[in-house]
Amino acid sequence: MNVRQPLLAKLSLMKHLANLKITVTCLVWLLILTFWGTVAQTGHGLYEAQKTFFFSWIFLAGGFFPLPGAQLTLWVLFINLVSVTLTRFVFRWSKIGILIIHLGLLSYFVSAFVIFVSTQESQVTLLEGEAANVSTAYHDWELAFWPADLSGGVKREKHSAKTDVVSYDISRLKPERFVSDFTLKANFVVKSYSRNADVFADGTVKALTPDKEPERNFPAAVIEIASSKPDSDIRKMTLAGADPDPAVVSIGGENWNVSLRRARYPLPLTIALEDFKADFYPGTDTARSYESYVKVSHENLTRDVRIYMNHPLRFKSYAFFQASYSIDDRGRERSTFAVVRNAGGWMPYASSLITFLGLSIHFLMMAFRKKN
Amino acid sequence: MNWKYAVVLIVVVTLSACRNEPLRREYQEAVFEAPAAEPRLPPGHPSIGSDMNDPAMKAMIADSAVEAPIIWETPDGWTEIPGDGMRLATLKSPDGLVQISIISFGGQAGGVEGNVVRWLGQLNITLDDQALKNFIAGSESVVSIGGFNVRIFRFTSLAPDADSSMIAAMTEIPGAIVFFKMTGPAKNLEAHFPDFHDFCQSLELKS
Repeated sequence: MNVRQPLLAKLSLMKHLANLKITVTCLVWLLILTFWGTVAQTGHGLYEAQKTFFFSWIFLAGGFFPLPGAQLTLWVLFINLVSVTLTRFVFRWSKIGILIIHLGLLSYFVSAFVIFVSTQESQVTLLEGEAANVSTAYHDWELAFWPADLSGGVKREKHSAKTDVVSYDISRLKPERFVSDFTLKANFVVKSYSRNADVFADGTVKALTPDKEPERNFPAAVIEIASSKPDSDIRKMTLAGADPDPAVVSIGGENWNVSLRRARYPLPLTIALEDFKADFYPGTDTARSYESYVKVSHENLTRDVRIYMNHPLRFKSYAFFQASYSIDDRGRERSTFAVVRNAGGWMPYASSLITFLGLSIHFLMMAFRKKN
Repeated sequence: MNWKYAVVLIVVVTLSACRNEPLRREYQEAVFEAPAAEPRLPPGHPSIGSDMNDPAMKAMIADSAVEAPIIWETPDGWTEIPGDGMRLATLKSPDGLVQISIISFGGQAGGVEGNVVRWLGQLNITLDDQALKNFIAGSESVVSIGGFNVRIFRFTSLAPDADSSMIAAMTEIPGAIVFFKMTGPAKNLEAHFPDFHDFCQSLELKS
């Protein structure tokens, strides 16, 4: 006799959570959400539809009626399945296969959770001959500071070869929140932040309604910054996300570049675009295929890699996919790689293996039982 | 026993709400730029500058390219070359040594300081913070016959002997910001400044 089941069976909460009606309701609701979210992409755009229907706990249908989002539904389903496993399963060796199958199915949920939390999507765009060790976010913006080199009559570089950057997630810097930074030796306050805005020549900011496609939004922020030394002058700055060049601010005698820019994510390697090749359909500008030849450097080791459609570069938890390209007026070719960081990428495979193992054991046991 | 499951549930749900990125990060950025390439523009085509190839700049341009409803009087003897997209026109001086580019943006133009800093960068001129403030504060303002306030920045004053310099002006018109860049050797720019000044004064809205 199993000792666990009577114990858990006494828990009324567990019994309620293990109700089969919850399972069926969640599955039906997920079906509806999938259909609704897919249709909504045509009117709201991919990003907004995903955010509203799939990444949310609760969303407002029609702007007023609250309904559970896919994230909440999946959690309820997960808890329901765990409860079912704990309260209804009686451990017997003859049922070991079924138990492993259920553990495999539950581990799919764990995999989905880890991937949801850890996945980071960004991109790297390189001109032939360029190299980078950071990728650029699609939608997230940062307030970045890095030392400005004004010495020696050399113009201020947008990026020196190697730069130590201090950055803040601008969306999480609440207006009027006082921030004291020990690296900058400065205090600053974001006075205002607009997700999408026009910045005019006199520094005024006109907030615009954010576009449904977030990559079309260019934010603006007004910040006040001063050295952390007492009685320092306060400098007010208007930063425009559309401005490709950083502003320069002198803090306690040191010059810093300040920029409101798309967030950069450090990569575990340096990727250099050696060559880009595109084949076009005859007489058209439509590419038949395109591929990038890159040099990848990591800890004094360098190797050549060809990245092309469905053949990404995989390195640790990162994958670099050939995403797009452009050719400018000077005939120079740029290649864009979609960078996906997925710390739990192996987990669905492990879940599949567990489920396969459970199925195999169960079928083999059934087969032997029939034979006997 | 119940409370233990409740605690586990709360922890799991809280974890799911965790953000991927912290508020503050420090990282090392290394971007190695490509060697300069020879431009492939048609002969005689005015330079479009390297900033035009920046993806952010391209996005901004795509977002900003507007046909500014503005007219001007071409200085005597100057030649006007029609532009396209955000470049409204290019004017060439009679001696061919100097040209004025007229460029419009649909609002997201980076502000006065951002543009002055960008232009300084293009000219390889460095200014400390105070000098930059002084330079901007010392800029000349001209009111055109159309009532526009045009701010003029004489970068020639910072490097009077430079072979490549600029006198730039900017003004805000309804729905756009328009930049006027007179480029060429510093001495020639100064010689043509009265023409540029008159040109700025001639700006008015299309009727």
